[in-house]
Amino acid sequence: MKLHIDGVSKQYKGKVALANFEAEFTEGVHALLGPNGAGKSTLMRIIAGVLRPTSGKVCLDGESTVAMGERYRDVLGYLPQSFGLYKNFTAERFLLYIAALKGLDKSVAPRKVAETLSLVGLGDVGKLKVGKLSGGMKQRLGIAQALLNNPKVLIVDEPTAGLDPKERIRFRNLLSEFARDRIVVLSTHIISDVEVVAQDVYLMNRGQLLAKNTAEGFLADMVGKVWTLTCAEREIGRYERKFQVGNVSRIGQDVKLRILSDQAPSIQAVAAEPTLEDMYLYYFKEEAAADEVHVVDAV
Amino acid sequence: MQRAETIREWQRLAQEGLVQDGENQVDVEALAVLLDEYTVEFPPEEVLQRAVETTLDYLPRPESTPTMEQLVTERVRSPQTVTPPTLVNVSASLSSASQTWWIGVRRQIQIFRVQTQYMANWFWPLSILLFACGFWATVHHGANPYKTMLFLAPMPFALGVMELMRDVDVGMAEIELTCRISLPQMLMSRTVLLGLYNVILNAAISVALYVAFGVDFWRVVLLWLVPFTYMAAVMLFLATKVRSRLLAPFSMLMWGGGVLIALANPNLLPQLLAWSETWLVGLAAMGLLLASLQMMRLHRMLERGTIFETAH
Repeated sequence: MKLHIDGVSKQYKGKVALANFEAEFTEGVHALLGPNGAGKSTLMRIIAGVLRPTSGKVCLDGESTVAMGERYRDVLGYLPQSFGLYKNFTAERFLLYIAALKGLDKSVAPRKVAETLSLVGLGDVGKLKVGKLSGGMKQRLGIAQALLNNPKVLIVDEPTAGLDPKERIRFRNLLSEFARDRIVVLSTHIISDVEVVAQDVYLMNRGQLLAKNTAEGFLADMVGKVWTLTCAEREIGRYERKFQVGNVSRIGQDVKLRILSDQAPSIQAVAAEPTLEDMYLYYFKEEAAADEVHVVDAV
Repeated sequence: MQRAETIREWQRLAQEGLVQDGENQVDVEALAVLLDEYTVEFPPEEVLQRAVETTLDYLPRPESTPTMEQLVTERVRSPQTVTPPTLVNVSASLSSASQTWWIGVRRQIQIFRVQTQYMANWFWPLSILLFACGFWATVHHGANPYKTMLFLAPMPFALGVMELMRDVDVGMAEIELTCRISLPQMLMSRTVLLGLYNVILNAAISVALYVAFGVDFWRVVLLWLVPFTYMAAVMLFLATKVRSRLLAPFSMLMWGGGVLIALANPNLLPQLLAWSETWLVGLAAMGLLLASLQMMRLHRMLERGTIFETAH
């Protein structure tokens, strides 16, 4: 199975949100990484068929998804970045409604709904009204609706936002298992999610594809570009002006800086093992600072 | 037998020396003259049949198409049921078309069922209650039946607008757009459902007023049909422009208040009732056209995702 993004562009009132994006997704998890406004959500919406591209097309196994219409929607699961739910519905009724819209047989739907609720850890709150659920539970309900029709193509935009660490681990495992014979396109700010589950990573900024590689490939590229340096606190400013400084941690009276630079920033600097967070900072610099990239090392 | 006779004819020609000269060369001119006069005897029926049967085996045919032999056998058994191969294909296409049509109908019924099932519980009884109150006021408090009809005409549709755009209002639209029954299909079905329900309620109260007061039935029908179609067009237009749950109550208030204020003028209702039926039918047709255009516009907006582009 191949999902081909064929030179897709999108403009909003003359402003380019996505420019000639090319990619080919096969079975596995493919992560889109980039700061706010990079065009990730626009791309996800276009892949999901919610938005029509200004030019280009999305093809599944060589056939345009627009032309496929209902046949494409039958194999599609989609979780948007932000969504609302019918507050007066119970979680179970909500999923039954979505099951009806997805064309699940009436005889199968209740069992499938119960299974999916249990899969996302909401098995015991099925009778609860959606309005009474916490933010994390609503997010899980959103994930459940995307999985309900056992999709072959799953598009998830920031799926782990609002989930606690335990739930994030559960979802990551679920996604890895799910992606064995399915295409999963994931957009996230949480770099550790990408590191663990993604088979390849697409870096996007200002509507363009900056680079594509595996997580390991990106890390390998960063070798020799990450340094640690211990210095006095008053020297921080000097280094910040000259280099891209990542983490700053205090060690007694001094501070330890993590610096991104193609050359050693000082003779005292020691080469460090790169992480994906370093890679993100290296590529996105100011945008990363503005976005406050979420790094969840504990997970 | 015929073949033997033909050979004999050529043998006879050879014997007479017309075909071959001394060097075994064919005398073409002599042969041509001979053939000008040569006649071929028509072969007997059984020889023709054998030739046809022999060549039939070498004709290409689709797997599903019955062989000529089967068709002939079938014809002998029951002449009515035989269908030539080409007609078999046509008949299959027609059957497939009727199946597609039936699948489409079943699908539409399914969409209506889902929409009816998941429409807000309060909508159906509240609309009936509204009409029941109107009828009760007319019967027991002497309200003018034509005024009642004008007042109530578009109310269920205006009320239903709250449900019409609920997906977009609560943020469910993106998810619903990716379902098999997609949002544009649902929205069209919901609009048709609301319209039908409104028409049924209007028709029911028209009959009730006709029975109770002997009003001019067709005039009453036209009197509600015109405002209903125009109000539907306006509500569909506003639904894409105004994102507020207050739209429905506000519109109902505006319509109800407007009708009451306008009809406080004692000369207006008689003037309306004096309008020709042709004129009212024309107005209703125009209203229906406007409402349909609004429906199509809404459909296009959802299908192309324009409704989300406004968020950027």
